[in-house]
Amino acid sequence: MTCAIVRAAGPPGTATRLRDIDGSSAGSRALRILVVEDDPGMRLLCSVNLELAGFSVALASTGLEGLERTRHEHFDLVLLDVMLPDLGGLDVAERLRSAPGTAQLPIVFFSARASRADIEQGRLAGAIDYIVKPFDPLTLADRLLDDFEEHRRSGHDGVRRMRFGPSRS
Amino acid sequence: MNAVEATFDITAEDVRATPEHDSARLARRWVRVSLLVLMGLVAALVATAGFAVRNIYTLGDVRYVKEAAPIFASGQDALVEMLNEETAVRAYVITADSTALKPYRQGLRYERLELAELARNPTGDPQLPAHVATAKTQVDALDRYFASEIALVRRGSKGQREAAAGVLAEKTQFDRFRRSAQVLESDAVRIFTRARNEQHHTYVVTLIVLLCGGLVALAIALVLLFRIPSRLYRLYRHEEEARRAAENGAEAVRALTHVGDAVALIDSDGVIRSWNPAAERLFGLPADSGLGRLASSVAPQLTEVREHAASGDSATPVMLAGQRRWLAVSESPFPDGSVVVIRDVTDDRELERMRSEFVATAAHELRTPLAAVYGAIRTMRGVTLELDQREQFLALIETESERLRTITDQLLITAQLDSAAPVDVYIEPVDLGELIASLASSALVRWPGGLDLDVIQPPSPVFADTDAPRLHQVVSNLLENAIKYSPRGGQIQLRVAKRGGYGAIDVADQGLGIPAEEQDRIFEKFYRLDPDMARGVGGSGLGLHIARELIRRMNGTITVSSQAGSGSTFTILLPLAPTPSAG
Repeated sequence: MTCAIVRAAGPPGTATRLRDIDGSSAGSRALRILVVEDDPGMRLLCSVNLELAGFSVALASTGLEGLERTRHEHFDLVLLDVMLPDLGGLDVAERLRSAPGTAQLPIVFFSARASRADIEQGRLAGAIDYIVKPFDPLTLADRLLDDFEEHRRSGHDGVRRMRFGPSRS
Repeated sequence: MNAVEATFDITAEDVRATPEHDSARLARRWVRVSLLVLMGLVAALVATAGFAVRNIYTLGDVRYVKEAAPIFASGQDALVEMLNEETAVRAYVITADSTALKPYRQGLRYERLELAELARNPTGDPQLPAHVATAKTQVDALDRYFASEIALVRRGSKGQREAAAGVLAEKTQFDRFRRSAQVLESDAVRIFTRARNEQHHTYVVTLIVLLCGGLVALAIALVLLFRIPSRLYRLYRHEEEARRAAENGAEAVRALTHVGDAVALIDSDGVIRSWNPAAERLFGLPADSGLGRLASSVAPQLTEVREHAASGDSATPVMLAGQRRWLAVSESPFPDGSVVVIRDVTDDRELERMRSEFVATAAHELRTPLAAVYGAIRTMRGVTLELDQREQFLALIETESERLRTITDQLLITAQLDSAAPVDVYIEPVDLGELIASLASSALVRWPGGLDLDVIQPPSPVFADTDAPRLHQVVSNLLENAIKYSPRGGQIQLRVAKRGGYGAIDVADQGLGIPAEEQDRIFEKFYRLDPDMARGVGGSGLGLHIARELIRRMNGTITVSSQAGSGSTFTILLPLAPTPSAG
């Protein structure tokens, strides 16, 4: 359960790295990320950094808005805040997992709630990763790209094992 | 004496070894026996003295004065009377004068009385009767002789000469009587001597008996004198200890009655020896129903808690009267069992849970703006940004830093409101309309899209007695809440009006609203609409608590009316200030 720790900030240069990986594995298509976050400052931080890393970023400020967007658009990954004003992040994750169109959509939580119980709740909600605020925005893109690659390579459970450790069930 | 000592000498070990009351009983019995012995001795001495005095008196009086002395006197008197008779008879023989015979007749009569007296023999002397008999025979012979002489003289002068010639014959008879009288006299002396010897003997025996008795009494008294005070002291000490123990016991029971924690005395067999009213209340049992019974049957929860405590749990949840209560137990062993103190720590745990939840919430609340500040600075240093993006990031750092300041302020104010130190409130007339106008203009700087702000001013200025900066803080907090809880947009109204004798400020939104059952509780400290924080906006749970406490200190009230799903209206009422004539 100690895996969900923000990795140390690497040297600036995420864009270069992204292109390397992109070229070798994901093809030329940039990752399309949905950020569901109610805090405008946090939305700004995520969008600026992820776009700089070459991602295509869509923003939603409430849980319901986020759900609505996944119904009409395709995303490679959802970065989901746990605390949202109308529908909580955990509920949003549950609905995404239960809807046929989005059941396989990788979900990464990010939250200032950092207790073991919180992270365990995130795991139970079916997320593949849990990022604790404050985090280093310069490594956010790397982290999400790793999550995405691992999810594609070893499947939903594989990436979860990597991030959350062996399941306790 | 040795036996007495051996029986009653209780050593210090014995006192320690025997239970307190046994030792006290022994000491008490010892003192009682000692006093009885003393009384017996005194009685014996008095009896001995009485006996001795009586004996000495009897011997001296009866034998000496009443018995021996009369014998002596009678013996002498008998001789004297006989001499009187003889002298009278001789005179009659010579003179033939019958008047000379008067002493003879008197002597004759007295002589018989004396002899009768001697014959009585009051001392019971064995030889006296025989001697008296001899003397009587001789007296009879002498009297016969005297009678014949008198008869001769009466016959005339021839008879007178004949009588004078017979005087010589009379002399031998008289000498014989004289010897008998002397024998009687020596008898009396012998009786005297014997009485004196007996008296002396009695005296000596009595003296020895008294001396011995006195010595024994003195010895026993000495022993008792040395022993009784220590026994009495021991007895006193026992009783004093018993009294003190009883007093302490009574005090302890009284103290236990008022102890809030449940206290039970449970012996090593698990039987409840005693417990206080708090224990009865805790386990919901009527008074005395548990005494003398097994704790495990009377209060099974107690056994459960004690077992958990023995294995190291600080508190154990049990069901009491259908409620889940956390009980903590501490035990102090005494020789036959344990004093068990049971404390209901449910409220403590709840407070502790709220406190740790508050710390988690506060940490979370601080972490969110911190994440923004940190992220913005990292980004600005790590990548090259456009100029307008740079401005956006600086603005972000500014607002988030302000948010950090607000949260830390809230935490400080809460700590201040909780502490005994008063929160300073400076009351002065404040124009409420002006206050909401300035508040609205600063809020509009960062107003979120999709929301309208409607400021409704009163027709004429409303002045209230209040603390302007504090009120600004409270209304600003209400406005932030209104924005936070209006995620779908809509309208927020900020209104000032005169209502009764009060100046009113309403902050109304069309947001999520508050369920009716929650409306009373939102002003409580740490209370959050979403205790799990699984959804909804962040918040320390302090804003409304601080608002209520500050408004209360400004002599005002804050209330809420809301319907879940269709918005909330918070209303602050403050006492009106007299309108300044110049204002």
